[in-house]
Amino acid sequence: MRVDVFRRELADHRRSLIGCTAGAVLLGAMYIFFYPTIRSSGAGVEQLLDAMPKGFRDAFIGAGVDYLSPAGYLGTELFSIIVPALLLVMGVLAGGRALAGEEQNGTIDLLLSTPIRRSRLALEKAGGALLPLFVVGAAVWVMIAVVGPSQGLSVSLGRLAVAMLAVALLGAGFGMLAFLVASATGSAGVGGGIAAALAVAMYALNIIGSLVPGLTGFANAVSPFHWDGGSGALANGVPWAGLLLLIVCPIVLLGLSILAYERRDLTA
Amino acid sequence: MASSPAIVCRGLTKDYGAKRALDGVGLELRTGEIFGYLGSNGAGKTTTIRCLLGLIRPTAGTATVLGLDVRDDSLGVRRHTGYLPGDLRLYPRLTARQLLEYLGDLRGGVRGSRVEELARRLECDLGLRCGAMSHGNRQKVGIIQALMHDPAVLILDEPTATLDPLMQRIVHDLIREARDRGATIFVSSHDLPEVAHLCDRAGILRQGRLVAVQDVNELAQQGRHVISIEFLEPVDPSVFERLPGVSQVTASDHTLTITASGDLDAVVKTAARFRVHGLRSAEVDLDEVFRDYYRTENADAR
Repeated sequence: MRVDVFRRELADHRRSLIGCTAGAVLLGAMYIFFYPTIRSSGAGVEQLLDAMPKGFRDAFIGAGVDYLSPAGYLGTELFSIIVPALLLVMGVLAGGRALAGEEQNGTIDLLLSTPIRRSRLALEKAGGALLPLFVVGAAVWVMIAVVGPSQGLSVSLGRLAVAMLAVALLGAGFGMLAFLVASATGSAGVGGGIAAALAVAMYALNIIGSLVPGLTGFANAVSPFHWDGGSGALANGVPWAGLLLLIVCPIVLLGLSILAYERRDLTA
Repeated sequence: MASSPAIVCRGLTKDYGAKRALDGVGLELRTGEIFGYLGSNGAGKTTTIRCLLGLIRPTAGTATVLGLDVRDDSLGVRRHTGYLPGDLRLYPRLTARQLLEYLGDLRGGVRGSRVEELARRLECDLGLRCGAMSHGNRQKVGIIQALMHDPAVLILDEPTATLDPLMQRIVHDLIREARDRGATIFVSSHDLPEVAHLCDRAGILRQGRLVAVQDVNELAQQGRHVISIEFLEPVDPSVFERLPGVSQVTASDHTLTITASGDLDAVVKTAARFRVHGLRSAEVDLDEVFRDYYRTENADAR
């Protein structure tokens, strides 16, 4: 099967992919090299953390997780904000841009004058937008597996892989939301904007859920930031139901995108 | 008997909200003809073309290309069609050659020798990045991609609008060659002389409605000529006012400016009775032709 659009999409954005991968790997490595210093200051850090409200502590470190353990430290430093934020931004930007960009650049007429189905175009574009998330995730996984043990950070590589997959899927989900809105409206900005706003809202909901006992159940069910196990993913594993939702969401959103795109008048 | 028509539109209508961009256009293109689609900006030329390519969906009506429905079999239509968009945009970071390879791959492969031949004739450097090209050069790349797979149908939206006269001629040659090997060409333009020169038949589109389809020779006849004749002696304008086809004569000094339609024989022969110092004939004014059609149409409606 020929995947010319997919290949073109990757080739066009190879520089940003290299940049994002290098950035994520270097940033992650930096945190790994901090670990021995932070662990040696042990008691002071624990005191600081104990001063936090319990909800905050659970949200950022994971319920019942020892921050200074390898899984606790990596989960907190990399999986609570940095890696998900990076993959989210990548996913939302690429998802918004991939298909609608052709309309906004005025190249869609040329592209769709060739005999390629709109559904096929959308699939290949989505693939080109999402693959980089998994490439970056895999690179960070390799880096942690290689560099971690030298700094005393040995974690289950299987569990690390699932956690990384969950975070990449989180980025893919919001990326596909951006893709859906952008393919329905023809605007990358509207797609990316709505997806980013919803991501921030869902992130906030996740925090609020862990602070307000009455909202916990609702927030955990609704916010994808809970589905991936959050910062506790390395220590406690990713819940299977959450992982399933994280897999289903981007697929459903992609399907809806194709339906919306096939029915639309494309902007000249 | 002529073979089946290459492009057929029946009652093609397109609304954008409350605005009717295309209003019941009915059209038949014969296989192997160059058909000019004339209209001023905003008349609906591009809307018609984008319906044919399946980029937009008609509100009402149907259209077929080579017998294939533009909605149900858009893939088949596009497989056999070469298209030059009116507002052509290329991928600025790709070289022309990379772009043509990409589009060729999406068509399942295109002969490289044909691309090189077209580039040579259009004097187009394929090694340049599209973003670094002049407008005219980008247009050449657009023409190459429309022609490179030798399609049975060519749909060209204002192909020569940004080209210099020399390149226009080369493009006209390429279009005629495509016709000579059996292709059907649908070319939109707002330039009546170009259409008169290039096309076999032409349709005139005005405010979304097809107001006439004619042989270009007939069409040119309907055009108005504005002739300025400078005489070496005073000449009574009324001599010309009585001539057939003359609608208006204005005089200043020894110069008469005569607006006439159709055959100019009588005007020229009458002028020859006097001593003529100079004579200028302005280009046929498309707007005038449109206005004529519009007037006629309104008169018919009453």
